[in-house]
Amino acid sequence: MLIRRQTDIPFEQDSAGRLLPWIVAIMIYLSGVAIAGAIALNGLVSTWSSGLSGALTIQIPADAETAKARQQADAVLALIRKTPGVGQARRLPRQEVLRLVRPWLGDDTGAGDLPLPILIDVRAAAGAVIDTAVLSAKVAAAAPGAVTESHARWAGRLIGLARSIWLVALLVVALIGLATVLTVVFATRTGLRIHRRVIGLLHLIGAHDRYIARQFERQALWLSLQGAVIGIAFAIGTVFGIAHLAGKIELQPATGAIFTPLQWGIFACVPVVAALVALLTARITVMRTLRRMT
Amino acid sequence: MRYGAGPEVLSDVAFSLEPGSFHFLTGESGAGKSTLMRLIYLSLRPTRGLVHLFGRDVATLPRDSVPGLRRRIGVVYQDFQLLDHLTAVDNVALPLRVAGARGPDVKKHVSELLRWVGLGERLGAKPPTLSGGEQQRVAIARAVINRPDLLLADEPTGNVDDNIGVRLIQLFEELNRMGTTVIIATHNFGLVDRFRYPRMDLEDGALRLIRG
Repeated sequence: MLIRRQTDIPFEQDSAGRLLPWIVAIMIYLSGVAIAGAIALNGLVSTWSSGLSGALTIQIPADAETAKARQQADAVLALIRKTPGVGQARRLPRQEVLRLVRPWLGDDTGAGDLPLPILIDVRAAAGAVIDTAVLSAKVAAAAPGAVTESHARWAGRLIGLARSIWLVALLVVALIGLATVLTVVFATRTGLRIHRRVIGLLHLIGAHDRYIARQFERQALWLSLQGAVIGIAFAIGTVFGIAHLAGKIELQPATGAIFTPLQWGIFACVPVVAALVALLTARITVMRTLRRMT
Repeated sequence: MRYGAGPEVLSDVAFSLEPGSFHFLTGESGAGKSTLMRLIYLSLRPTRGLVHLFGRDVATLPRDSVPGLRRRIGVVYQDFQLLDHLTAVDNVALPLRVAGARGPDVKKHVSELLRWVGLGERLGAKPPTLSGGEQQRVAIARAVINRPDLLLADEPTGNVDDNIGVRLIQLFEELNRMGTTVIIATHNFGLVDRFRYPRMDLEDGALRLIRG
């Protein structure tokens, strides 16, 4: 036990009780990291979802960076701009295309001399849907060899994967919650056995089961809250650490901006929920066990 | 009454206590005094026969009603049954806390009673630091703190000198005058003779009433 409380039942003699805060701290740490991962992943999925839905890329082959290819690109651009549902279409400048290939080819490869494809970025108008099949056929007619790539299909698969990971994270949290409940049940039952004499005396003095249960549930609440606060503090530290590393590789903005205030609120509720679950578990365990004892 | 498959400890026991009466319970060691006390304070249920307490048959008592009856009974256990991690004040306040009493009045009331039993200097002491006699007085204070309707004391003067013993019996008499029914199980025939209250004597599982 980290901090002692005065109770009728001498919980400080209870070895199971001494370990409970640390077990809860570990459980809450794991839950906190899993929840943080799920929230962050959800944010990424939303960003990808909104950024990629309704987006298309048209690629005119690399060996075609010629006057003819430029004419084909102008024709394709004109064609696209007339297509219903298109909000914006632009040809990516060569410097931007170079920047896109730099992570694979590096800075010093002389990529500037390579024959790069002409890329046209197409965005649907707000609320509009582009018929990709029709557009693809028109583009192929205007520029033979051009490839029309819809981001939605790729994004859909990615989002599907992300959602699966998110569900797994929730399952992990649920299993950790179940393990915490079982730990509290075990600790409470052990406590009931250890303090059988005192419980018997309290009964003889006229204590209702509810009075005894209240002592156990407050103890469980207190111990779990201590463990949960420690666990969530370490989880927040871990999240900030990961966010800092993610910021370094420009995957996410560093630290604070990773969660919205509401998401931070959900995160902060974890210790409170854990403590309340421990309280209810202890109450139910004591009431059921005492009914069987006498 | 028997424990498991053992012999019958109490077999011929029939008595009724008038509210406000005072009795000594005597008998050889092993005669069943503690068993009889446990039957009365609802620590045991009889294997046969009937126990009526405050007009209610304990065999048919719903579980939720038991604490209410127990709060009307004060018990001084032979082995004191104090909680070692609590101070004398907190031990004595236990029946009040269990009954829902809170606040500074509780501590004041408990402190007054402990002073009365001669433990005014030991209010914050924990049982392991108290002598046998002091522990016994804490146990007595705990039994009488909420002015029970029935007081059961198992050898309450076993660990104190005669002067304190007399004083404790006088405390029980005072409670008795306020309406508490008192039963004191004792080996101390000096006290029994001195106070001359009716005596219930247990022998061979049977109870015999002897007028004081």
